[in-house]
Amino acid sequence: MKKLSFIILATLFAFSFTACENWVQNVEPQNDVAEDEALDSAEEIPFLITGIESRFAFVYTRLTVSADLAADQLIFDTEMPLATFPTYRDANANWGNVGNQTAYSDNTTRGFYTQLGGFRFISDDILERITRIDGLSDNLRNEAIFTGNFYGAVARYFTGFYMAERPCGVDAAVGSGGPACFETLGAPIDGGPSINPRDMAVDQILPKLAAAEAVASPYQQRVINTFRARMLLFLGEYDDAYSFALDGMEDGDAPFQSLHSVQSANNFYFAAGIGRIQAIPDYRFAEYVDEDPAEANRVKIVPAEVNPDRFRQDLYPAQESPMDFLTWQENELMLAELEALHGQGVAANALGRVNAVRASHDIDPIVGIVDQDLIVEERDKELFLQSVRMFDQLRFNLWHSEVQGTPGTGLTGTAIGPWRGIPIPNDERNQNPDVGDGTD
Amino acid sequence: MFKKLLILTIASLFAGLAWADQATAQTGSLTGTITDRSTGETLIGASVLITDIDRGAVTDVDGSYTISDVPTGTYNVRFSYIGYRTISQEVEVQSGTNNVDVEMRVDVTGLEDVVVTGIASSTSRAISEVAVSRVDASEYTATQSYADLSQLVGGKIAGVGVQPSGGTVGAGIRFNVRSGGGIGGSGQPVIYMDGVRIDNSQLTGLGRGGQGTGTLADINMDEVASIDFLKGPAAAALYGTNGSNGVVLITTKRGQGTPGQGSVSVNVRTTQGASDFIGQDQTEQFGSTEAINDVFRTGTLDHRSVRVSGGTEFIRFNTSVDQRLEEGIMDRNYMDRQNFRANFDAFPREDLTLSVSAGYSWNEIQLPDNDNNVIGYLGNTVLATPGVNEDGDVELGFNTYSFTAREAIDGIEDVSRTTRFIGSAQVQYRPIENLEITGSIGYDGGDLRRDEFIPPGFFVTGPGTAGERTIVNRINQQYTYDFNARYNYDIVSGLEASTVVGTQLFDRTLRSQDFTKRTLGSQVVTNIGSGADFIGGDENFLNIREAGVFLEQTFNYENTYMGTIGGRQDFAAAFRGDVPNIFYPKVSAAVRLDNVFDLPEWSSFLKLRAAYGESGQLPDFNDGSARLWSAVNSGYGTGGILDFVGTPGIEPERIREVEFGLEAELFERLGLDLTYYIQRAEDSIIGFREPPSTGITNLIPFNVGGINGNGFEAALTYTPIETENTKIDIGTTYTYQNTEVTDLGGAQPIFDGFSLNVLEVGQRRSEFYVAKVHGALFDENGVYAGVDAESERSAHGNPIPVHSGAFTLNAQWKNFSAYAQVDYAYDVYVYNNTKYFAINFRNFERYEELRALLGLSNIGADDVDALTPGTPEYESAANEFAKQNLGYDSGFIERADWLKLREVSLSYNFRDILERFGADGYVNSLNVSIAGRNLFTTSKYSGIDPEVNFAGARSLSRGQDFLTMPQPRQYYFTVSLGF
Repeated sequence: MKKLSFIILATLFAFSFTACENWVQNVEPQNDVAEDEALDSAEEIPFLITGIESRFAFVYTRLTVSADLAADQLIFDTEMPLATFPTYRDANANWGNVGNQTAYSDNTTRGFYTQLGGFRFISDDILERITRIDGLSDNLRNEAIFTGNFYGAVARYFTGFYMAERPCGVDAAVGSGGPACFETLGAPIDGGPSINPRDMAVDQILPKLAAAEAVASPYQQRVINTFRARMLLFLGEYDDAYSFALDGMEDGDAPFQSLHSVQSANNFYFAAGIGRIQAIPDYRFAEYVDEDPAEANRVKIVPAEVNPDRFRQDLYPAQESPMDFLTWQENELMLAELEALHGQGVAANALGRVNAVRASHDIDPIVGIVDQDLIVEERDKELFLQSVRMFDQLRFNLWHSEVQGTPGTGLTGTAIGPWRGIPIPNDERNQNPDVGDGTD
Repeated sequence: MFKKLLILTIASLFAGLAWADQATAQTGSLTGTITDRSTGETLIGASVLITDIDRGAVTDVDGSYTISDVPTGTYNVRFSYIGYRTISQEVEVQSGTNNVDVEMRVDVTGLEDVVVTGIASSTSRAISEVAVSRVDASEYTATQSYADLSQLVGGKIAGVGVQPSGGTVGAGIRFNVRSGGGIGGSGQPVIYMDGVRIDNSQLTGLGRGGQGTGTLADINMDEVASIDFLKGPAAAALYGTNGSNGVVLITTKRGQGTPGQGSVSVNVRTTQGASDFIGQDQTEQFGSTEAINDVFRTGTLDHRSVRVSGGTEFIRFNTSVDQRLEEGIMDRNYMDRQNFRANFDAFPREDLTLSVSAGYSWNEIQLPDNDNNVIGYLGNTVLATPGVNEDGDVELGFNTYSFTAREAIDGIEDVSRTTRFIGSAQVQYRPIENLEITGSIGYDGGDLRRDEFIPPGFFVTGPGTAGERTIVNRINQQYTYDFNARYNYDIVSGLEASTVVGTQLFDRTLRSQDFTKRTLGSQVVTNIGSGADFIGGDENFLNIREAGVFLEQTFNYENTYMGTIGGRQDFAAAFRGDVPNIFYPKVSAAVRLDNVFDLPEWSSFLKLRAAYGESGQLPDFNDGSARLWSAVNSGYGTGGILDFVGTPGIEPERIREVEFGLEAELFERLGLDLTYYIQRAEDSIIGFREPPSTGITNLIPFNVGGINGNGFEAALTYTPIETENTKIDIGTTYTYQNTEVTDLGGAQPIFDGFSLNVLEVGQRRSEFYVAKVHGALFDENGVYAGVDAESERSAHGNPIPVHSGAFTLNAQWKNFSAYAQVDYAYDVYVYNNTKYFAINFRNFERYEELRALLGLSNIGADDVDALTPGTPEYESAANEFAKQNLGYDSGFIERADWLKLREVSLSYNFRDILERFGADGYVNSLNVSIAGRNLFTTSKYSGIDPEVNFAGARSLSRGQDFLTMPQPRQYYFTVSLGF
């Protein structure tokens, strides 16, 4: 009996090894993730295209809040009861009065910077993926090529133009402004060294836009040209900028927008909107409207519900509010600027272009000379909360010197910090030896 | 040849029978009386066993025993009785009556306690080869009402810390067991209840802060008989993967049967209690003291239970009904729990035992919002900005409830309702002598529904005034299957051996879903269907399986030399990848030096032990996959994004532990248990953060990490007085633990979400790792000019205490008993994020005073005269001010050593009075006790409670106090009636 028992137990013991291995593998599959190869089919391409578009919207709305806080369009207003994010305060102060470690561990930046890398990755991935898929229709293939290239270019634009490896200026406490600060901008692609805006545009963005253009619709081609013109204008390449702008978006073209939903909300709703007012527009926007009530048609502000003495933005009133990324109005103002200030085309045409833009908002035309002040102000109003103000401040050397905010509270009135772009976060710096610690 | 052999065999058989007949012809009887050595009282029911022939008897009401017809000879006789030290002695039995009287002494140091030492083994503490610890729960719950495991276990076990995440009723708890095993996993022990591996998750809501609820809150401590701890791989290796942080074994109460007669006992108990806020002194540092204090209230406790237990020779049962309604010290916090338990043991045959454990709980927990949250009570009172009062003066902390109105917070509901069944059935079969086969199946199934409701009408961040309802459903089902066989045998005379083989399977399925809608049209019709706007909905599903096959061989030579060798092969489910499998060995040995050497009389017990074992941490379910994509919703529709990049072929991490122990009993009153352990974790799973520019958004898991740990544990018990009427026990536990991360495989430091706690080579686990602020910078005139800080990060202390322990006093005098426990922690640090944000909102009085002293603009400190730059007073103020600069964290990391009078209970048993009035025929016992918890605290920490952690019980964030609910002071009054 003892022997028999031992034989039975030993046999059970031996068999249990293979039985265990089989048993643990026999689990119900997950349905919330799919392996990479499972998406190598024509049916999944629309799903992947939508994923790329969704990441664009995710990054753009978040990056814009930080960029406009760093520039002078948004104020972190501590008088607003729900203004609690230190990261917004830090961005508003151009990361002044905080150590680099605090600037680099900014959770707001980390939130969109990580997804920016993912946005770039999946844009590139679809271009490689379609080479592995047989039987893809021409239409779907072209749509994938356009999406991968165009949004790959947008991701690189965000990376190269908005992020900054180091502060600008010799005075690390307060920094400086001006076009030279473009040299401090830029961030890496795929773990390499930081790429400044010019190199990024020339080496990566423009070739991608060319590839997208090859399969683009006429409207998409005009969008691409406006995009090209914007970057080249920032870089001071006025000849090329003018050339592209002439073929850019036209009156009647729908704005090229990021789309949002309650599940993927416009970030302004919770950062500077009805959902939670932490940041408000700079006081000058109220003055614009005060001076000319018709400006309210494009400078959309309303009294803040929780503090009627102040205004909040109403450009994006809902979580679903789309955000303009490129518009024919911006294209027209670029042409006006290039003609009036940079010797392109016919200078006399500039006024007409400015007034055409104003007319699109039912704002009375202006008369007189189109000069830098006018261009800067028109762009300030027209491109309200679209993240381009920081480049105008740099181009025209208009960077503010003091933290703007609620008089008498917070950091208001103290010297602005040294950053002219959004600091690359530690997640990148710690893992990427090609990115310095910002003190170089 | 065959015929010769047959004849020889038959002849031998006859010869043997003849010898046997002759041998049985001469017998004697063994008789005697067993008494208590201290009191002289006779002991009823003590066991006497002649081990050589396996015959025995039990003492009668006079303490006498008789074993008749014992063949003459010399035998080893074992005298044992629960709570007394076992005596083994050689007795020569001659013809006729042999009288052996024995005086037994009380086992004051608990060496006779039977403790669990492995997955299928238990033994007395006296011969255990590993460090084991037991909390006899029923001793404590008899006089005090414990809300959860943290309250019951805290401070009682050396090497095991239990940290509540906050003072919210129903909140989660976190175990700190030894040095914490490896780097991966949750860092929590595996918990079994009557053989069922139970769910020990921390459940959080949908993004509104708060502590979350812990699933252990469903467990009724009054149902628990004992809790055994296997504290590391050395002891828990046979539990396999996930046992690296120890194993907690909860055993519920079972019925007792009396041979030859049935018995039933009924116990009715009620506890009434109250809880109070004890941080009034600390809130005075804020400008809004009154508003902060106003959010706290006195919480009440109403706890009632009825327990019926008993049995016969063939069946025993224990059943109880329990209701506990406990309020927190803040509005909208309560736990209403009902538990039902029915345990049965049946002995239909001598060789068969059937056991069933069944526990059902219904638990409703309401949580207030707290922590990093703008709709919490503390957030709205501590983070208050200055304002102008009626007198026109600027007042600190004036604008309370500026994020969310008090009425709105009062109206928010966050209620979790859980029904849960934990049960097991076990069969023990002994088909032949010394072979025991055990099979069991256990089930832990919990259904949770969580309702989060923000009523319309008041402004609340997120939904505004539209109102919002969220429903979360979570169904967790986990099965534990155990099968093992144990065979005990003698190899040679005196050398006993035991072989155990077994297998253990675990299957868990977790399904959850959530749904949120907003814009509720009515104040009174508020179902989720009334919400006009869909906000979000999702589901999660997980099915994991683990299996292990184990073998253990033990040896015991005359209870003097003990040894064990064994191992377990483990398998686990993975996402469409290879099955992670790993072998975990163990070996242990102990020697009873008191049986080897003639020790001085004052040293009655001395044991050395050493053990080595390995365990591990499983990779996460998806870690072995190459690339996984998931779906996101957006304004464009639903699209695919890269969600996860893993490492195919990833292995479980391996944690090795060696421990050495010394246990001694001195002067028969002093018990000493010392253990030193070393842990080495290899192949720890490190999440590598690729540069985000690569597009990989998750941490990629690799088997590259390493962490070392070591520690020392001491438990001392002393019984200075033990007489018939009086007994005093003094105890102390002490724990030292240390860790050092040795390898991250080249990965950069891994930080928690607030970039404070780190995993970094050369640093302790979870070390606060920030840039140090030396003090202030001054200009040429001696005027404050900024912060003098390091640019590099450095270590600033650890949130896990380096030294911790407790002192206990247990005194009995006649029918009166008292218990007191003092817990302490030394060399521990807390990040005071509450202070950080209070300064940020200009609600911290000392900060404003410093501003005034430095001549800077201040609020509410205008009566403070500015100091003169260049003076020592000015420099001192400037240095203090610099350390409170919000750009640096180091000034907010505080030494937080603490000492707490954790428990005090006084109890009186009215049995003499019952006897005097003749009521003992109706009532067996009447016990009344009063108790208190957290009665006194002293700490270096400037905040309210140094034990809490805002990030709940699981995340890498440790020791961070951020508007977190402190633990309350509690008082209890308990009446217990036995029938």
